[in-house]
Amino acid sequence: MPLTGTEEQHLIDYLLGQLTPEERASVEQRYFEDDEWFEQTRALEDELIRDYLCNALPAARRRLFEARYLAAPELRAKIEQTRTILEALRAERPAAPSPSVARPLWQRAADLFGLPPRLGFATAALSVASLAVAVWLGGQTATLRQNVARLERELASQARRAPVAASFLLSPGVLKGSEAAPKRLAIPPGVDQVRLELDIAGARKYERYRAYLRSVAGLEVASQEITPGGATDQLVFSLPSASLPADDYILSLGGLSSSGTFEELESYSFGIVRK
Amino acid sequence: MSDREANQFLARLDPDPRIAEQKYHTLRSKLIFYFQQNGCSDPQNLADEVFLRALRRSSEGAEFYSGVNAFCYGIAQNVLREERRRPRHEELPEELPPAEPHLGPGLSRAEQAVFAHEFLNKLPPDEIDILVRYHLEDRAQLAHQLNVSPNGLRIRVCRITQKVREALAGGVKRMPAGT
Repeated sequence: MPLTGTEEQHLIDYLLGQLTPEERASVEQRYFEDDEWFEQTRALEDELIRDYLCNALPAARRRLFEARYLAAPELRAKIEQTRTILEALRAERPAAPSPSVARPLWQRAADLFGLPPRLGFATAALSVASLAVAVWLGGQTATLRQNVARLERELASQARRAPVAASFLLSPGVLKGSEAAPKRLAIPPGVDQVRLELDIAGARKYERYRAYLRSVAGLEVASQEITPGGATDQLVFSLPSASLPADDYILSLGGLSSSGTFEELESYSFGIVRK
Repeated sequence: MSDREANQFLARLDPDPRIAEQKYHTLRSKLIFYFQQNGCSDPQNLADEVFLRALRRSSEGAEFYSGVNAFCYGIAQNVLREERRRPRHEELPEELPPAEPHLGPGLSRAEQAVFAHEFLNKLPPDEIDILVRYHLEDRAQLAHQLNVSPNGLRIRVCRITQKVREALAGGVKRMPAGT
């Protein structure tokens, strides 16, 4: 049963977390009941991962893919497993055989330059000398390439050590109904971490807090226990940028009492916009 | 749960034990996929929990009117809701972790590559050829040459890849402790 274009797009939207909870449940119900539909879904996921690893995803789809697949360890593991398979396949790719391998070098040299066979030896000797130079140059090139690769690794490593963070200050309040849009936080490309600074000026003070971040659809995105740093009226909730696709969110903050009970304090609503 | 109860449950999937076993594995794959897609950290364990509950209900004589798959999907939804309500012990990292390859505990990249190479070599040559060409070359051209639709090729590659994934997972399980 081939997929129609609409069905394919719908399944991709499911894999990229772009469906409403009802639509997701509908896709899930169908793949539980229909083995072929399940296979189609899994095959599309394989293709998405492959295209991601080969840099073949369009920019918008790539962002959605990263936001979902890099944020969840189980999905991230699939990427790494596919990467391993791809690397093994690259090693498996057979080299094309040369049709002239069976003939002696001097004969091939004579053929190459259109010379009589007796001059072939001289040409072959010249070719060997040229080959030696080429091998030496090749060795130099390989060393240079290794150095470049090492520098690139070092740069990548430095980039990992210093992630780019974007900070936003959030005031408490949840907008209801169609009153107005929540505060929009625009995340530019290249940002690794998002720091949400929660204003708790009017709230009761606790030694520890717990924050739950959910999408407006009710899907839990992250939760963290937060210990306030010094005499400040702000708490910092930090999370990978990739785990925040464009959507509207509600962050619920509660205080943890010494007896371990959780008391709800404030809620903060905001929307994420990707530049 | 006794073997008899487990067999009774399998018989609900199919009267033929071999087909029932295949259907069990497919259903388990669906459950794992479902929990992965819903961001759960231990999908295999949650899939087992679904089977445990289904087995319990089966031994109590419950009727699976809409079929075992639909029944298990209903249980899976409940398990997911419970999982989301459960307090989390793991906190998100302060910084993005580096993209380290992950296949199993204690496996280096080189070991992973050895496993993958070993298992690829066990595949029939035509399947390796399709995998190589699909992943590393123009897949539209490959579909044309094989006279199949792009969708048909995708399914075929997915089946082969699944074998490699299962073999890799088996290879990881076969690793002796401490290596």
